[in-house]
Amino acid sequence: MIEIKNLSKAYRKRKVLHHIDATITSPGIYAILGPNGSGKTTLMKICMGLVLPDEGDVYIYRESVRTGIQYRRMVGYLPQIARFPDNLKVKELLQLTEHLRGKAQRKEMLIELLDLAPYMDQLFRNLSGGTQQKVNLVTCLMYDVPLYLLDEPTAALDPVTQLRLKEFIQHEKERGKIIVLTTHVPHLVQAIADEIYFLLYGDIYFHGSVEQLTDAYQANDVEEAIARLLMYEQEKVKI
Amino acid sequence: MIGYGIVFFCLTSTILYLIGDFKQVIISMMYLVLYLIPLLSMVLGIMYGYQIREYIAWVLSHPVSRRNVFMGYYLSLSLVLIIYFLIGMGIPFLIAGVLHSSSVSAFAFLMLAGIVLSFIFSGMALWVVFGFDHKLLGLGMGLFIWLVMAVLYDVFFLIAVIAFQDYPLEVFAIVASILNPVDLSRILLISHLDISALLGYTGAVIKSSFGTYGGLIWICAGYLIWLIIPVWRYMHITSKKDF
Repeated sequence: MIEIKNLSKAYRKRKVLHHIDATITSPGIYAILGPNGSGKTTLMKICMGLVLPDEGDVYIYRESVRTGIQYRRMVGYLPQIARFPDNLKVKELLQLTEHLRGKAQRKEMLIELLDLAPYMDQLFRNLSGGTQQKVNLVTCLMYDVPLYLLDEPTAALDPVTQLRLKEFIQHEKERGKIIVLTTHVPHLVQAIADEIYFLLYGDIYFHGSVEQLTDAYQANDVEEAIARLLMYEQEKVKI
Repeated sequence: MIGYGIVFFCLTSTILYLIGDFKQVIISMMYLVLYLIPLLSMVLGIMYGYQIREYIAWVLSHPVSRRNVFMGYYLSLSLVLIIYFLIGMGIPFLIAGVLHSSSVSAFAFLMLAGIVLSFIFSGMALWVVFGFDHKLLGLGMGLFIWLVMAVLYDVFFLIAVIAFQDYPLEVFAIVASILNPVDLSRILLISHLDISALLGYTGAVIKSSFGTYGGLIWICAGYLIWLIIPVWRYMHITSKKDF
């Protein structure tokens, strides 16, 4: 359960989030969309206490992210860029994660699902970008928690892994989990998202289902709807 | 970090072998402690700090408090430096039999000064790391702080003494001594080696104003301030910083 209340954040003079309110209570897949720099990653980081809001607060399972840390036990967070101590091997990295968070429930299953077994004894820094992202996914998804915050989960992944990940996310939704993800891949949103939050100019510009978005912009799919939405906004700015 | 211990071990062993007399060796090692520990603590601390900055967001996204994470980093950095210093410099002295000599108290103060300087300059290094996002700028600032405290401070102090030589400078000297942990350490060590010629103006004023034990309390008070301020600033910056 996530409650975002009057949330604002600016980096120096650039306002990224401007008095945002939102509540997510029921299980489902929630896609946060928006152009580059619209505040998607900042919102995710605020939820994890990595970025501190200027105003407002986020409550995750009724605990404020400004002061609390225990809520993080109920959250699996996937950062946009995988940055780990790069002098460690993959298996050492997973062990370190377990040392910080406790025993993972499905590490082996995810290692198998993402074909990571051959890389367990390799240094993280020697892995390709896609394999680093797979390790990133394992550290996040290996905990069976009620909420996942996934920042660009499909970035750098090959099509096979993207498909497996999509199925895994849908399976988690069916198990009653809340999955919040940011992405620039419209097809993924079209296929799995229950609700869309479109961020623009620091506000939630659109909130609704995939059908509501496509209907509102008379588009055939999410990609076209987003393109029309952005073109419409550009025209408004010109006028 | 092992290299840090090896440097101290080799230098201490060599000087002990070449000179032999504990008092003379401690004077030589004093300069190593006063200049090398601040420099290496600063440089190694900054390198370590920028390395952990790369993946700090990953650590902080787990159920651990910022306060514990950053205090943990400070303590681990400073304690590793201290352990290697104690092993590198302490073992050769112990093997040479310093505990059975008349220089045992001077040796203890040498170790104490090294420990305190390691704590102080580790704290400063992490303060610099999280105060400056740009790595080269941070390294430059760290080296500048070391240069001011280890070298330029004496120059500025000497200029001030010459410029204001017609005025009573005792109070100024006492206050000025507390502004520099390297100078405090120098006074601490020299006053326990009974080499008045090396006391310097600040040391002589502190010794004449407070006596040996009063001076020790003054130095401890100065140390306490320097132990608290960098760590307090570092903890304050990291508690407000976005990662």
